[in-house]
Amino acid sequence: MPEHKSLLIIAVAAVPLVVVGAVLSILLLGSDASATCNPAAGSSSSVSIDVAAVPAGPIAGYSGVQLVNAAYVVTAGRDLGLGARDQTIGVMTAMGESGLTVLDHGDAAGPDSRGLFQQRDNGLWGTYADRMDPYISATNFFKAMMQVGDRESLEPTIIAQRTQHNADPYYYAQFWDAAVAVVDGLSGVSTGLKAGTGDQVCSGGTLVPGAVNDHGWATPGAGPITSRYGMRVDPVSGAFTRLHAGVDLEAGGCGGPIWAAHDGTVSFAGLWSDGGGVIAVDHGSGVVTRYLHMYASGILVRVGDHVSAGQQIARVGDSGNSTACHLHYEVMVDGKNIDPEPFMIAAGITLGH
Amino acid sequence: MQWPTGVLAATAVGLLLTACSANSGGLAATPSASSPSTTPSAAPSAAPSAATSGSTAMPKVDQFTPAPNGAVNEDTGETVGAQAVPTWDAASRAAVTAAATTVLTAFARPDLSYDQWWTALEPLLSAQAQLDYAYVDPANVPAKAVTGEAQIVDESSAYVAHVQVPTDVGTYTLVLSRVDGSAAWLTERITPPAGAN
Repeated sequence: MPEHKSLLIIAVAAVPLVVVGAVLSILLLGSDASATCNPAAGSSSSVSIDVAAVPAGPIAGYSGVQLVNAAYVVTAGRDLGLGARDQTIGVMTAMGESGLTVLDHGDAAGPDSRGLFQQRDNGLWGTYADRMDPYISATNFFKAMMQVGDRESLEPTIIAQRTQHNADPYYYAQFWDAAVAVVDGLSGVSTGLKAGTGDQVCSGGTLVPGAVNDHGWATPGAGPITSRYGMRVDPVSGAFTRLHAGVDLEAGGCGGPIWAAHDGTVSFAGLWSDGGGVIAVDHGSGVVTRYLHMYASGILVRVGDHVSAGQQIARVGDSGNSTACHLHYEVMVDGKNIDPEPFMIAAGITLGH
Repeated sequence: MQWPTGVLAATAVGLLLTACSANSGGLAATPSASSPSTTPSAAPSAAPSAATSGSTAMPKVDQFTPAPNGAVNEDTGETVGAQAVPTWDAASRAAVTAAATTVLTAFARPDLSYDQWWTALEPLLSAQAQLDYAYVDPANVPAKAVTGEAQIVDESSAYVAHVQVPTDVGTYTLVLSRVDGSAAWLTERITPPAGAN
């Protein structure tokens, strides 16, 4: 078991019970390094854009003054020493708030909101002139954003929401792809940020589709099998009362792709009470497949999402009751586990290959 | 569990035959009784047969032995058979539409202080939603009131419901989930109508 988990348990034990609920998830979210799949935080990945030499566009549907405003946002981020991911979060936020236009009006929820970031007249965001100035308003946005701790382990849309405190935490994700295109396009450099990751912790990772057979099934992870399904002896009682309720697959090791075995609806996605990551996909007919041990940052779907066979839904991790990165894959029928191997064989998939 | 080599070979033979029949007949019913393959009864699992029921590509599930009640899942700590399996019935539908109405009524209170607002809202949310919605300033919630009846729009899983609820600024779409058939519905997501962020 990695050292950080032992530390976590000690830390949690020391925290009064009331606080645990609020603090636990933050600790857990911060418990794995996600820096490897994001551009370096800070100025080493900063991008620069000459505000006076911005092309007319369009880029991702934005042009003219909108792109100039994006350049001001990127410049404000650079001047604060922020890296490319943070700069792009600024552009994404301004797209979501104002369409990269310095608006001289607010909206129903905030009639006093103004400017690129729709900053309210509540004393937190400076004067009217400040809020209407693209560079100053972006600077004030970033200064507030820099108060959001551990940004490397949070999704871009969540970082934006914890800065803006708007009513829909997932709202900004829809603007991420355009923000990446604008920042890359205006700066002329490839930031390494990937489209499709506005609601994911890992902004530089690529998703790999799995192979789907003629029956509409896919293997949940690459082999080999490292432990099979079956009853185990309880070390205390000596009785066969413990169930290894799934098949363990190496699945490419840490960060390897985990694929939905079949079309279905995500019915659980998050951390179990022991801190282990769990995704459950309901396929109908009483059949649910489950995928265990991902870190929070490696869970790429949310409850209610419709997923398709072979869609990458997670990255392999080592959370919960686990001693090394692997995928524990379960098949449940009417709420009870069955051996996944013969079930998958019936679906045309041989696990471990 | 390690399978004896002989059993694996027998299973593999059954497999090939199953694959053949599945290829010729798609995934239409392939009753295992009519299969020319026979598997030793001592095998830990009978040679699995491909699917049966109508249009789905779902293997016939009653050929597999469920884990025994009372066994403890080593990875999750769950006890097999202890959780009620949810189904969609009148009581479930009534419960989830009531839960959706309750949570949106608690959410759409921009007049409240944060502490008052969050105290009422937090227990209605899933663990993940509690993390994400904790940073909302209620003053930024555009809706002020629920104005009509909640309606389920997606019940593809008995664990999850997508529910639409009308408000004074338009129709919200909520995602709610339950961990088992006897658990309360908790809200995962509260999505405002387009243009009302």
